[in-house]
Amino acid sequence: MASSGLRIQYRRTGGFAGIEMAADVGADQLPAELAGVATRLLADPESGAPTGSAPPGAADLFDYQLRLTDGDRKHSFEWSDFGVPDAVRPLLSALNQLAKPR
Amino acid sequence: MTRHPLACILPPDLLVQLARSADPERRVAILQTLELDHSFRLGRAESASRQGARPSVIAPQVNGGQPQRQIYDQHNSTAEAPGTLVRGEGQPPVEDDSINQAYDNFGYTYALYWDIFHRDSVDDQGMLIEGLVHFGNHYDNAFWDGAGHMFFGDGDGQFLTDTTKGIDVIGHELTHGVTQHEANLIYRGQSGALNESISDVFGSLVKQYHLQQDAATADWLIGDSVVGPALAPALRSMKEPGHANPHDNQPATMDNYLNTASDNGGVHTNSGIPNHAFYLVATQIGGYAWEAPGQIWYDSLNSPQLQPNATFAKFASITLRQARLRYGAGSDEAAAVKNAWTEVKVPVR
Repeated sequence: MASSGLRIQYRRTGGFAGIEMAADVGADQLPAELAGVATRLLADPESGAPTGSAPPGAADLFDYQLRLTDGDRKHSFEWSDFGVPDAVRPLLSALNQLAKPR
Repeated sequence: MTRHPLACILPPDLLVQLARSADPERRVAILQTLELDHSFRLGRAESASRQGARPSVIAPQVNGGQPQRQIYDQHNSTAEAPGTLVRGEGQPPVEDDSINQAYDNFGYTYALYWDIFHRDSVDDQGMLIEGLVHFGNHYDNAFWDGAGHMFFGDGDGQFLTDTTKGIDVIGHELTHGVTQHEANLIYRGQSGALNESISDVFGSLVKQYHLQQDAATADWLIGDSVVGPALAPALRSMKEPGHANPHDNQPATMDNYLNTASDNGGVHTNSGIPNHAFYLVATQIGGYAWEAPGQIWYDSLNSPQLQPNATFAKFASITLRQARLRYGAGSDEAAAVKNAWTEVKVPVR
């Protein structure tokens, strides 16, 4: 079960349009399954290690930043489009739907 | 005491921490230091990945003139490798509009480069043009992967729609490949903004050439055919940077150059400055922008003087030099180039 104190700060930059998107939500604002993804990331940050990176010469990919905070526990993650772990993608997709342009 | 040189260098993450708590004036200096540091790091990495030297062409090209397009369906996956080949070169249209749009728009892009600049595809050696459509789930983006592939999302319906619809979008992405094979501009800071601007310039020229629009008739908008209601009427404007949509923060001159660590140093924001310079050159010279203005820009992109870490000022000086070489030191074309860079407040000599 996701901690009711877990907060998620999401930021997406880059992309062809160059629009920065940001969201700052509590885990309780997400479906339980996706809140669980965030909880597991904070419990085991290694599971969120990038699976790849933007190759040299690449352009217009998105860059995703996630900061998870729950009391004293906090961790930040950063991925490019080619480095997001499969389990994390649905979470980022949901957060982007909640995000607003900055 | 022995000084170890590496112990004297502030690591990038410490610079970021310092920037967060610094006063505005010092923050600018720290961000500029970070930009310079990253450019050296990336420059070393990107030099290592650059294509090997091509044999010099002595005889005129006798091949070329025909694109070799392969359009793939990624089936809404995020796989990095090509999915199902749906339409190859010369094959008839299929039921999927996205596949057909990508195929046609790549053809128009190839046509600009071949007809006007006599360039045979991305690498000027007939490289396969590989478009991978239906990437991701409602993915509101398109990108060049640095390995010869262009990926296109279907859009989320709010910010972007089907990105294969945009002839300038497809021209933009393919041009990233051209840039990689020529100047290989580092995708950060001013060189990154130049990389972005060159893609906007040639993406616009693809559209204008296809529609046979002159500089006065063209709308100079980027992405107007792929935006959703949140970004209408367009992503960017080369004519009026900062006015394309409610979230457009592009500057038109160096007075509003954005110093930021976001988006690789604001490459999609600060591209507004060289974009506007090209618009000014094109409208001052008049006629078709793919002729003199496009030729000057293409010559500059191919100039050995254009290094991966080029600044706006260096690029400006190269465009002026190329204009003088091709059209004469006292030509209207050279004057237009000098005036344009002056107007956007990029020093040019």
